[in-house]
Amino acid sequence: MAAGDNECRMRLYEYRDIGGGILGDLPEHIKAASPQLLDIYIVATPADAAGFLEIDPPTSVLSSVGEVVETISSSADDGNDAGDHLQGISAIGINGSNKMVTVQMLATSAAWTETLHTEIWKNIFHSFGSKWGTGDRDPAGAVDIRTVGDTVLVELVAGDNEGNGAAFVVPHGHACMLYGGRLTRITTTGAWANDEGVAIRIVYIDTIDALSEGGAGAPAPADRAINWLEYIVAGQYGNQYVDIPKGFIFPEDTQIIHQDSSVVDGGEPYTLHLQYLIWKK
Amino acid sequence: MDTEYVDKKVLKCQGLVDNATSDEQKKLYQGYLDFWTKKLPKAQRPEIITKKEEAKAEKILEENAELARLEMIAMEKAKVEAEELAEAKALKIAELEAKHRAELAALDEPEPEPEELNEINFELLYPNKKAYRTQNGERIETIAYKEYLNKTESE
Repeated sequence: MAAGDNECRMRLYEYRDIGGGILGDLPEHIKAASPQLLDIYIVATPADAAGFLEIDPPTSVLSSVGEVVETISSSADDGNDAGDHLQGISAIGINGSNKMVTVQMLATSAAWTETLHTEIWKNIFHSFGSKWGTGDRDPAGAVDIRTVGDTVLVELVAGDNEGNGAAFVVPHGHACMLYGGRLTRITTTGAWANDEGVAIRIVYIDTIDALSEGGAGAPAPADRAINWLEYIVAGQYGNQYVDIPKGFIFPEDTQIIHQDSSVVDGGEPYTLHLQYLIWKK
Repeated sequence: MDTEYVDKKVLKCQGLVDNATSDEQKKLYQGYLDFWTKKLPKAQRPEIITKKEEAKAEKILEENAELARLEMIAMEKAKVEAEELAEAKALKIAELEAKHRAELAALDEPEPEPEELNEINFELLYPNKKAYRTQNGERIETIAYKEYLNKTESE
């Protein structure tokens, strides 16, 4: 993976899908709320320069009162014909009832021209291919999820089943807990550079911070209280991974984005696995 | 941009505006509708009737329908009243006719049948007179009886 490249796999697991053991140490009241687990797995290489940049951002951020979206493919080989390639795309986001959901959206024509879907969305974070015909197991063209005004939110490029988007928002009326993870520095040569490493940040912007952006009398962006958790793996010796502890709580409506940076100026590949537990208060 | 594509978008947005579940949502979809409508050449812009306008038109239609209904009721009422009046009139006429007929009938009532001229009636009329006297075993009409017969016949 070239410097500056990144890929994110995001999946949402319902309570019934989570292994019993993983939630064993949770307080009973959280278990009683049937929490969902948002699993984020990132493979990336930071740019060859120190400086934090957002990992795999969505094409556009949908922050809406609730609206329907469309899907479309740039290739007539994607669609609902049995011999087509991609037939369905799934999105993870927040629906009109403030619930984090995964919804599959299917092509309704053989050429997958713009297709209006019925789900109401307030946010969409990520997309991935989820149904295929006999033609191929990945999209023939670029398949995207867009607003009715044709603003692309997230997309799959041709030949790639995993779309962009590694950020999310804690649904209104919900709480979110960072439920652990691991940052792993990887190498293709078997040797670690002593004067290099990888740093990641979990940036969280709560409602107050977001509200204070722009507008008369609002603090300048640099003065806003944007907070982050930072983890670094660097140097030649010692463990080349760091376990990310669980327990950090984020309130409702908090926007969470992920950033990475080279520790010095050489982009090194890494993987980052993060889990977030989300439950209704 | 392909006009057909924009046309589809306009129709789609129109549907979304009409089926929006909140004012905020309607405003949002209206924004999309305006966005796509502006992309069409003016001459090709379809006549857009929003739900609000539709509701207004429906209200006017409803009001007109109500007026028509009231007019219909008034007409029906007038008709019924006219019918009732005609019926009453007919009854009255029938009654008057019956009365008139009765009067006429009373006027046309035939004279009582003249009493039969016989001795019984004579003797009933004149109880102290005899219709016949017997002379030499022969029955002879009395003068009074003869007068009775002559008088009654001449009347």
